[in-house]
Parts: sequence; structure tokens; C-alpha cells
Amino acid sequence: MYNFRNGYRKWVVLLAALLPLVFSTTAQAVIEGISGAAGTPVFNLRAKSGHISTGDGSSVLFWGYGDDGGPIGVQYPGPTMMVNEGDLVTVNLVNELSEATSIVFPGQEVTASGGVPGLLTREAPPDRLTTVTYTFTANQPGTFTYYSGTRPDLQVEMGMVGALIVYPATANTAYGDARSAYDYEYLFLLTEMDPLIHDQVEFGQMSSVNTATAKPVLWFINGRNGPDTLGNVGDPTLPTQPYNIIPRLNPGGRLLSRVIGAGRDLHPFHFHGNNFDLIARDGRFLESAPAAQKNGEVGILPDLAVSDFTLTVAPGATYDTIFTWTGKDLGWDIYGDGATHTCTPDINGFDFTTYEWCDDHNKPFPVTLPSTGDITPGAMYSGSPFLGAAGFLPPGEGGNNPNSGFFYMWHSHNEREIINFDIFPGGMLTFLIVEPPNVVIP
Amino acid sequence: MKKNVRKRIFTTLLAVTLSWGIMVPFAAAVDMVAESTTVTMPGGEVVTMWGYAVPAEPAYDTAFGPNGPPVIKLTAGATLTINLTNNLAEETSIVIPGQQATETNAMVPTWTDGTTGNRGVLPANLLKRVRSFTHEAAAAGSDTYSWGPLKAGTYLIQSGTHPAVQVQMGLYAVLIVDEVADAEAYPGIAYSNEVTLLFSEIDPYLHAAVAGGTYGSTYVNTMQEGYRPRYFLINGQPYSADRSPIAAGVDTDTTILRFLNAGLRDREPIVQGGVMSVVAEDGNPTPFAGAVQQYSIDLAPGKTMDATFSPLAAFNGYVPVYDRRLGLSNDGASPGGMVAMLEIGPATHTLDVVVDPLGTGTGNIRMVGAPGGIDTATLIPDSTEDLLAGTEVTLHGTGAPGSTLTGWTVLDSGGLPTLECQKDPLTDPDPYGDCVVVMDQNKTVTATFTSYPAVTLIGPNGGETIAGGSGYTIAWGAPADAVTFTLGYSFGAGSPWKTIATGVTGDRYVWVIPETVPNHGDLYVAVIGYDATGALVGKDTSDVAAQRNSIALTTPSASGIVLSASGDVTYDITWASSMVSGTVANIGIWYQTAPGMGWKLITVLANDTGSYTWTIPVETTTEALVGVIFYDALGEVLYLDVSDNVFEMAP
Repeated sequence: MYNFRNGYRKWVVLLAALLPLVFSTTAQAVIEGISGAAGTPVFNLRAKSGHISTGDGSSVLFWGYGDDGGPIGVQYPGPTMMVNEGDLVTVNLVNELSEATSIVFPGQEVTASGGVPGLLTREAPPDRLTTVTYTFTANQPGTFTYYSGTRPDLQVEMGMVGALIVYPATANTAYGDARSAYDYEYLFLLTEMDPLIHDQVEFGQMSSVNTATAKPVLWFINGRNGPDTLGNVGDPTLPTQPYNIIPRLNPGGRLLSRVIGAGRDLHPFHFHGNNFDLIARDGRFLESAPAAQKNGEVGILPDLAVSDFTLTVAPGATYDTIFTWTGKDLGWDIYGDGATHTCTPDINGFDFTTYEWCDDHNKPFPVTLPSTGDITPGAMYSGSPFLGAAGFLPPGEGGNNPNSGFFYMWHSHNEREIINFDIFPGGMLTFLIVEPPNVVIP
Repeated sequence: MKKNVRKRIFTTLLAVTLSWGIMVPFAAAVDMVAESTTVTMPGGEVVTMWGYAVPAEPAYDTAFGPNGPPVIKLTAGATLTINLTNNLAEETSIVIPGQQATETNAMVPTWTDGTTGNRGVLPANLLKRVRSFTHEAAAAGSDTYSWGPLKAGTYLIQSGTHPAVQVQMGLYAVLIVDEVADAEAYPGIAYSNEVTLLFSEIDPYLHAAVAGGTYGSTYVNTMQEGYRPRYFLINGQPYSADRSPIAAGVDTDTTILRFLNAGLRDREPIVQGGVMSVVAEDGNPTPFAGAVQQYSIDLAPGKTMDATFSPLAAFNGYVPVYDRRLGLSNDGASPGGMVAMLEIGPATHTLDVVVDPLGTGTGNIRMVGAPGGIDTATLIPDSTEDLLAGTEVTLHGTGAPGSTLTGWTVLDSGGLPTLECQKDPLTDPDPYGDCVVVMDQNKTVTATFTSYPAVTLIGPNGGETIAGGSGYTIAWGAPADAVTFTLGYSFGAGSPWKTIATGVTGDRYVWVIPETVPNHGDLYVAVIGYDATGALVGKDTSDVAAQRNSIALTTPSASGIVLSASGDVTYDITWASSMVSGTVANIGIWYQTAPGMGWKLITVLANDTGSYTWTIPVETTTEALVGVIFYDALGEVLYLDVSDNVFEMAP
């Protein structure tokens, strides 16, 4: 029988051998969302209930926002609104829930009109008809969040949360200059749920609902439990959970993570593989003065950026981090046998195209690998410890790593939160994939 | 901000007089009393609290009074002495994390065997544990504590004895030390206005265990229960309708917000609609203060955070501060918990709320939504609030048992009635609902409650126009013993009663009328009251039919009509509609040559014109019918009517 995978792998190995000849193309990894007319975007949202599929195989009632007239309908989390700095943003809300609701935009100076006055903002009564309108000028670029300002202890739990991203005029930057430049950007909207509360709402037992004693057992990134986080965008089996999260980068690229604490608890979000640099909080750049900068591992950063490997994500707050991966100082050659490729250092000591740390070029792998017959390979093991290389695996093993990248789990470091209602693995979990330089990341 | 000076009350948290932001300039020697008290939470639960009282200061002369825990304010370099009188049944003490204690036995531990100082000699020393971080005031005893020279900043004053219990029970207070009195919080950090926001929680189960003497390792229940706070306080009070806004200066002020967390859980205060600059943490100035802004604050237990906040230019309004960790209910009831409203601007307009003394019934009025400050149900009638000009206030009336709200009257500053809240019961879908007044001048709002000795339907009760697909508020009155109600509707004599809802409490119910209910003409509503045992108290139906939103085909409808098609003869099809809502997308006009035959389309209209000139087609029949159907945007039939009688068609 023709072994398709092995044939493919031989091709990959061949390609890896040609690496110095291949220029990597760093296309921008995008965040899914909705955007409106240039300058004056208008978002028409409708608050409705629906059901999500959770990683433990359950179906849970949620309340959410949907793009009115859009292809998805009500979704969890709400649609990511993507606007440009200086835009006059209008958000209209109509309410099909059984109680009043609203939207607040922390960090924005919002004018609300229509509807009825509420505690934190004006509210849309549950009449399916009245439109409440929120307008603001997006005068600061950055990552922001929105959520219900009506009975938020329940409605945020029920799913009425979303992301707002304000892009500066300079493309591929988060805050307008090279200190926040990125090659890839990803959204990490972190939430949790106590399905007991959702069941009580679904069964009409509203008088039994007490959010003061909420006890979450489900944890989400962008509205999905792991491992659904690794599914496709718009997976038809997850119609109300359109967003995925699979961060990928090439060596030497700068990956921007827009992290939002959207639930009720703090989450220690852990970036394996390298430290990140926190460059902004609550949509405000961490600089002591305009243009104040310092050097990062790749490129420059605002001077008050903080290098860390676990991000304390507080509810309501947002964080922007720049993450790079180069393999610097690993002490071995990440591309394997040094004879298969060259390393020509730039001024920082990295190869121009492969971003190999040239001091480690041709250094041998520090351990003797066990033979294939002595290991139980995971689905993400390429058969080789080297980037872009692949080894032979027993039939039926591996398979989830077609480019022979490096996988790093990115997850809540509160280990109880990487389960789905007691089932491991799951919850607030996904994987970073360091892809070989020749892999084009769309 | 409150205008009237009110009596303080010791047993409730509902009555709030906020002098936070106007700090009490205590002398450097303060006599404080640790004592037990009870507070009543919104919803009625009575909780035992321990707290600090300052008898010499009227605002704090009792523990956990309306002003919450005491605030002591001094200037850097001063010395603070607290003479603590302990009226509790167990030992207690005072510590201030971040300040230097100066008495000779300061911060010397007290052990569980009552000894102080070093642990002592083996082996007996292994049996004792630390009970206090410093020297104790014995039960019913007293002791003196001193700190200085004081360091600028915001600090928690709290019990140093058995803090896992005593701090949670409420033994906490606030120390503010200015660099320059009322002008500079830290060197170089100037302010012109100050707001202190002390966050804490109550787990009533734990408080009951402590009060009942069942707390501890021999009582496993407390340990099994863990810590599950159900009330969430700012400045010693959970949010409720009568919680007044906190005066926070004017738009040109730089306000320093002093956040403290005396609870056991992380909090994440958010200032909505603005950003802050964090200037200090635990009384230590942050580097680059003012360079970085954020709208949220990480407030871990035991921590203090200071931030400066400047409103937008010309801003005049209310800025909510709330806990984004969602401690936003009072034991599940919303709104509640950790919400405070900062009032920016002069509160020049007085709202006075009165229960009509001439009404036969009684009830309470409270403000729902922003900014808060009115609730006539609290033990202190809280009926007056000074508000910013232009504030839109929503008032909600709740009848006492046996009474129902039956009307609002709004008087302007000249004592003349305004048109606000004057709702026409024939056209307004919620004529007995909330009253919204705009504070463009001083206003007095009177709510009239009516006593009902029998179950009585108030509305709809005849002549109302009710839009299909929308909500209509059914209102009724009932004697006090009727506690649950069943609601139903009927289309008139011979039409079966259908249930709207059962087990309803209160005196109002929002009924969403099904859009696709076909046109039956008139509509009757019934209410049936039951007592607590389920026995019938009484019932009432609409005296006169309420008219549903409907259409009625006017022509052709009468009997004996003959339509002839010879020579392009036209006929005016007419209908009358009482549409109120605007959900109709299309109107279809159809005819059929006999009942049961297929309907043929005459035309589709985009607007409700009330008539259509029909060019009569060539048909031969003696039993034709015309139908008019209103559709929504999805093509669902909303309403329809068909000719009451067949008519004749001839070429």
C-alpha cells in the first residue's frame, strides 16, 4: 500500500533541506469580526437567547448579541466589532430576551439614547421593538470589551460579552508605531460559565438564580472550550460559536495577542514557549512618554512593557502582548543537521530568513532520541524534534502537525480551568504552533 | 447628595448618608470602640456585624452605622493614637499594615494561651499558636495603639486578632494620610476632590456561625461551607434604591479615588466612561504615575490602590463605579452589591417624593436605575434627593398588601402639575407603570395608592387599544390575603377562557399578546386571586370589552352584495384597522369564489391605505368572499378578516 503520509513527509524533509532558498511570507493572521462603513460604522445588534455546545458534550442555554441580519445570528461571544481610530461608532440594540438589557463599553465615552434609563446606561426593554443607541468616538486605538450593563452579574454569566478592537491608521500595529508592530494578531476572550445558572434560566426558575454563589465548571476562549478552540472558524457544528483560536507564527515573527477578561473570575493565562511582553492594558499603551522604547527579542517595545510568561487576566480588563519565538539559546540547532542549511547572522545574530540563532547553528540535539518503537507519539508529534523536519511514525500515529511545527499549549495556568466539567483536557486551552519559515500563515 | 439631615439608625444598611468624600478631620488621638451590632440587608436579612465606632464623632458614633466604617484623615509626619475600647466578648487589637507602630509592645505576638512575647521554652511552646499580631484589648477591656510618623497614603485599619474571623466580621476602618492636607496625596500628586471606596463582603452564614458560637473546627458545617459571600459592600453598604450618589466635585476637579479591599476576594472596580491614572499601591507611589491610564483596578484583598480621575471638560452627570468581578447583587437580587455613583456637578435640583395621603391605600416609591437615592420603604422615610440638572429619574411604585398604585402626579417648582407620568389608560400599554421625570427644575412626585377590599381588575377594563405582538401591562387590585393570581383572556361570550399566566405575584403583569391570534373582535381579561393556602379569594373580569389591535373588513361584508364585471367595473374594498405597532410589512387582499375554494390574490399593498379599488374579475358565483391579511416582514400572518357574508359575482 502506498503510504501517503510518508511520501508527504519525504517531501517536507526535502523542502526543509531547501530552507535557505525559501523566503518566508508573513501574511497577517486575522481576527474574525464585523466592521462597518468607513468613518461611521453602524452595528445593529440583537440580544437573543440560543444554545452553545460545550466540551463535555452538553448543550447550554446562553444569552448573547447577534449581528442583526448577519449570517451568524446570536453568538457567543458577541460579534467582535472592528473599527478604526477616530471612527464615530454607532451601536443599535434591540432586545428579544425576557428582561431588559444594554451594552456598556468601558474605556469609551458613550452617549446613549432611546430605550429607558437604567443603572449603568440606557436599556432596551424586552419588547423586540425598541432600539437603544450607543454612540462614541473611538479616539484611542487598542483592545476593548463590551458587555451588558443590565444585571451584569447574571447577563455576563449568560454570555452577553464581546470584543471591540480599534485599529490605528498605521497598518499592522496595535498602537500606531513600530513598538506595537505585529505580523499576526489573535483574540483571546476568556470566560467561564456555571451551567447550573443557565439551566435555572432555561427552566424558568429565575427566583432560584443566585449569581453570588456562582461556581463555574466550564471555561472558554473566544466562546469555545478546548479542544473545540482548535476547530475551524465558522464550524457548522458550532453555529453559535463562530470563533476559534489557533495562534500560529513563524520564527522571528511578532504575534499580537489581544487578551480580554470577559467573565467574572481572574485567569492566569500562560504562554508556553517563551516570555511575552505586555505592551498595553485597557487599551492604553504602556509607555512613560510618547515614543519611549526599549528593545525586545525581536524589534522594539514601549519602554514600560513587562516581560512575563503568565498574564493575570482580570475581568473587564484588556491586555495586549507581543510574543516572539526564535529558539535563541536553546543550545541546539532547531533545524537539525547543520549541513542541510546555512546560518548567516544579521546584526542581532539571527539568520536573515530562517531566524535561526546562529550561535546554535549545527549544535547537536542534546539527548539521544528513543527509537520510534519505544515511544507513544502524540497526535501533534511530527516524528522529529526539529522544526520543519519530519520523522517516520508508526502507522496511525501523529497527523495533526502537517508542517512539522512546534506545538506549545497556551492555557489557563489555573489547572482546574483546563477541564470541561471535570473532563481533561479542555476548557481554557489551545495550542501555539511555531511553523517552519516556509509555511505561509494566512 | 442628600439635602436633608436624617437621623441615623443602627439596625439598617438601607439608610445611607454619604459623607464619603468629606473626610472627618479627626484629632490625632481617637477613641474607638469595637462592638457588635446588627444590620439589615436589602431584602430583610439581619446580619450580626462587628465594627468600629467613634463615639465622639456623630457620623461614626456607632459601629456600621449609615456612614459605614470610620475614616480617619491625617497629614504625613503626624502621630496617630487609637484608644481602643473592646465591647466584644473576645480579645481584639488593631493593626495598620504599612504604618510604623510606636508603642513599646507594638507588634509583639499574643499566643493562644494568652502569653505575649517570645514563643517560650520547649515543649509547651509547641502547643500554642499566634492569636494576635500585637498586644490585645481583652474582652470588655481596652488598650492603646500608636503609629508614626505617618507615611502618606491610603491604609486599612483592621483587627490584628484572629483576622480570618474578625476582619470578615467587619473590624476594619480607613486611614488616609495626605502629603499636604486636602491638596496633595503623595509628593507631586495633587488633588482637589477625594472619594474613598472601601470594598468588603458579607457571608451571612459565617456571621451567623460566629454570632451563634458555632464557628470553629468543632463545628464542621462552617468549614464545609467555605467562604461564600452573598452581600457586597462599598463603604459598608450594598447598593440599593435609596443609596445616594457620592458627591465627586465638578468637571474641573482632579479627584483622587482611594480604593481599599477589606474583603477576602479579589475585586475589579471599573470606572465607566473614563480612565484613571494609578498613582499608588498600598500607600507606595507608583513610578511614572500619570503616564499610564486604565479604566479598571486590580484590587486584591487587603490592598489599597489610589488613582486620579479627571472628568471630561464640561461633564455634568453620574459616573458609575462597580465591581467587574460581578459582586453586583444582594444575595442574588439585582441591582445591588458593589455599585457607587459618582456625582459630578452641582446637585441643584431637588426631587421630593410623596405617597398621596388622600389615597385609600399605601405603598412605597423607590428610584430604579441611576442615580439612586429614593426609597420610601426604608425605616427612615427617604423621600428627598438633590440631583444634577437634567437627570432622568425612573420611579417605581409598589403597593402595600391590599393596595395598588393607581396614579402619579408631578408638580413643578411652582407647585403646578406637569404632564409627566399622566398616562392615558386607553392608549398607554403600561398606564400604571413607572414614572419617569426629568429634573429640569425642582419637582414633587406624588404616587396615589388605592386600597382594594376585593379582587378588582384595573386594566384593561374597557375601551383600551392593545397592540398584538407587544406587551400590555395588566393591572389589578386585591385584598392583602390574595397573594397569587391567575390571569386569563377570552374573546367574549361563548369563547373559552385561555390562561395567560398562573402563580403571578404582585399587582401587575406584562402580557405579550400573541401576534398571530386571529381576529375575534373584542377581548376580555380576567384575574383570579388565591390566598397562601390556594383558596379562592375572588375574581374579576373586564367590565367592558377591551378592544384588541385588529382589522375589520368593512366592504364587501354585508349580505346581498352583487358585483358585476361587465365593462371594467370597479369596487372599493375597505377595511378599518386599529394597528398600533409598526410591524406590518405587507397587506394582501384575496378573494375566493366559494368557501373552501382556493384564494386568489387581488393585490399586495405596502401601506395600510384602508381601501383598495378592485377591478372586478369575470367570475360566476353566488358565494364569493374577500379577505384582507396583514403580514409581518417574515410573511407571518398578523391579522386577517374575511367578509362576514358571501356576495354574488356575475359577468
